[in-house]
Parts: sequence; C-alpha cells; structure tokens
Amino acid sequence: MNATAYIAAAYGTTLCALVLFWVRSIRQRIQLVEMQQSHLRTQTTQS
Amino acid sequence: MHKKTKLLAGGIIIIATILLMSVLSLQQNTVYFYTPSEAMAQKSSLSHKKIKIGGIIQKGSVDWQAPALSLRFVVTDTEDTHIPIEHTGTPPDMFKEGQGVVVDGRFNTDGSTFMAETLMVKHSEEYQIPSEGKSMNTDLLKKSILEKE
Amino acid sequence: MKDGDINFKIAPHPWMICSLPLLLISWAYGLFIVPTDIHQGEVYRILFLHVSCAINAFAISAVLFVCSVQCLWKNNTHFSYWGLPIAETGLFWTIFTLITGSIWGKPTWGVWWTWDARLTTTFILALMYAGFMVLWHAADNSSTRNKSCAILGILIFADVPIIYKSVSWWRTLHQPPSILRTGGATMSTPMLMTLLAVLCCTLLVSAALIRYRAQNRQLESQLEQQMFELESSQKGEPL
Repeated sequence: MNATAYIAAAYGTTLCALVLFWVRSIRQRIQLVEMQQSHLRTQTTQS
Repeated sequence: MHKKTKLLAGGIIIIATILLMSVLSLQQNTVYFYTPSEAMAQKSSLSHKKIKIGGIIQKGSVDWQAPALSLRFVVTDTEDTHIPIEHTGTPPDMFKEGQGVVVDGRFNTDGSTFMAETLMVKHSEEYQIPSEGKSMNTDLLKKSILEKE
Repeated sequence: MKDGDINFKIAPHPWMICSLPLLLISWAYGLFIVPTDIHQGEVYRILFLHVSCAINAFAISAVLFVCSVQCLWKNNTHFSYWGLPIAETGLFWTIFTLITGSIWGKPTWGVWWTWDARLTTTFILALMYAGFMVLWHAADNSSTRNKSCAILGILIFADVPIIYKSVSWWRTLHQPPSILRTGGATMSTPMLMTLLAVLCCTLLVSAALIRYRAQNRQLESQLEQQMFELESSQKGEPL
C-alpha cells in the first residue's frame, strides 16, 4: 500500500464516522420533537 | 463531616491512588525497550527472554538481501555499544542508516546476534518542509530515543 | 406548553452548520497545499487529523472535569444534560486518535499497534470514557448517577497529563511532543499553522456536537416531565 491509501483510510473513516454521528444526533432530535408535538396535540384534544 | 466534603475526600483519594498505581506499575513492569548498553550489560539474565532493544541504526551496517528478505544491521547507542541484528522481512520505508529502531526478539544461543521477530522504526519529533533543506537532526533523534527527563 | 419549556428547532445553530465545511476546508489545506515532510513524505499528512483528534479528546476531558466539579460542588443540574454528550464526544475522538494513529503507525513505524506507554494510556482513556457511558446508563437514580459519573469524570481528566507526559517519563515507540517542548517547536511553521487551523475547526465541530446532543437530553427530560404531568392530571391527582 502506498501513502495515499493510508491517508485516504484515515481521513475517510473519520469523516464517515463524523457524518454518521451528526446524522444520528439529528434523527434523535427529529424523534424528540415529533414526540413533543404529538404530546401537545393530545393535551389540546383533552382540554 | 459534611456529605460533600466526604465525597470530595473520597474522590481525591481515588485519584491519588490510581495515579500512583499507574506510575509505579508502568515504571516497574514495562521497560518498553533496553538500550544496547543495558542489553549487553544484562545479557546473561536476558538471554532467554523476549525483549525489545531500541537504538540507532549504525551507518554503513545495513545489509538487505531483497530476494531472501534477509536484513542484517547493527544497532548502537551513545555509549559505543554495538549489537548485530538479524531480521526476516521487508523493513518499513523509514528504515535507513542513522534512523532510530526498536527490535523485538531474543539473542541467539551463543549470544552474538539478536534475532528480531518484529522491527519498528522510531523516528524523532521533527517535521520539516523540503525547502528548508535540512538533513535529519541526529542529536534530536538520539535524545528522543536514549535520554529521558 | 409551560413558560419554562424550551422549543428546540431540528436544524442545528447556523455556526454549527458552518463547522463541518470549515473542517473540510482545513483538511483540504493539510492534504493538498502544505508541502510534504522531508523524513516521512506524504504520509505525514495524517498528523493533522491524528493530533487534532487527540487534542480534542484531551480538551473534552477538561470540559468534563469542570462540569464534574460543578456537579459535585454546587449540585449543578447542568450535568444531567451535558455529562453524557461530553463523554460520548470524548470517546469518539479518543477512538479516532487510536484509529488514525494506528493507520499512521503502519507505514512509519512498521506496526499497527504496540503496547508502549503513550498508546496504553490513550487506550485507558478510551476505556474510561466508555466506562462513563456505561455507568451513566446503569444508574437508576439521577442523583447517584450524576455523583458517580462526576467522580469518574474527574478521574478521566487525571489520565490526560499522564498521557501527555508518558513520552517523557517512559521509553516509548511514540515520539516526544513536537510543539509544546523546551527549545521550541520542531515543526516547520506552515505545518504548525495548518495543524492549528485543523485543530480549531475540529474543536468547533466538537462543541457543536456536544451542544446539540445536550439539547436533545434537555428535550428528553422535558418530555418525560410533560408525560408525567399528563398522567397525574388524568388520574385526577393534584400536581
């Protein structure tokens, strides 16, 4: 293997993992916001 | 005693213990490598053990037979001790005369040569762009391998 | 919705969105523009990534230390939201310090891994961050969870000076520091400046991630509170 392959492996894995970490965090947020909204709806229908 | 103070005292004790234990255990058990002089001085007790030796690759000593993958060279230190090394396998790109090296293996039966199973290059902390045209800072390398605070 | 409740948007804060492209620009500078190293050639470019990951892992441990001390000293509730995201991000960078270091070690040292003092103490840092996360999820009571995790947070920080000095205290395969050393930096100025740029961008990405995930925790606990209140009101009990 030459130097380029090692560099690409190092930067590539880090970038992929970083993007994945961001995507997971945002998906978690979407889920939480949706739950909050549905909760608000049940509250309004009750009152 | 207040609950918080107890908790803090406990925390400090735990930190101190762990710090102390790690420092002690690393100093006693993990001599990561011996310098060539240390290895020669303790040769009789080390002769059957798998050890690491770290030093400088002596200039003009490298004999690399590519077809047989056989590598011979001499490792040295500041105290003018020389240990002949034998290794089978392609050395890393950074392996060259005057470079630092750590070899893992054991002395052969008559103790004349060190048979290295693993060969690792130990480079210095120097990073330079080519335009500055400097060659390797050998003093820095020697200091980084053979001297500790 | 009550007055005290916070309504978080899904999109991250604008400067958080900027942090990732900024990081990519600094990477591109390190990968394509800065000259090669006379000893290692091209492969030295992993340095920018590896060192940034390591310093991020260390910096995050300092943040965790401050939060932990605050939690133990002043019973600060911020720790409930910030503790876990800080440890998660710290673990992320520690793991990538080990991975990028390993990828860099193979072509330069000739081995992927060796148990020298620097590598071992960094490995311990990863274990401690992981331990923090396990402890966090294991505790059933948020007060004992915060206290025990805060103590571990202080211990994690205690490992960082050991990692930093490991190359000076013991013989290692890993080289000593190039920048913060007596006698000045042993790195050419363009390389040093690039490293600082990549480091700053990585720190920005880290801060953004931690903040965003801490907001998630806050949202989560808010939701739990709302659910609890709804249940109580359905049963006809006073709040």
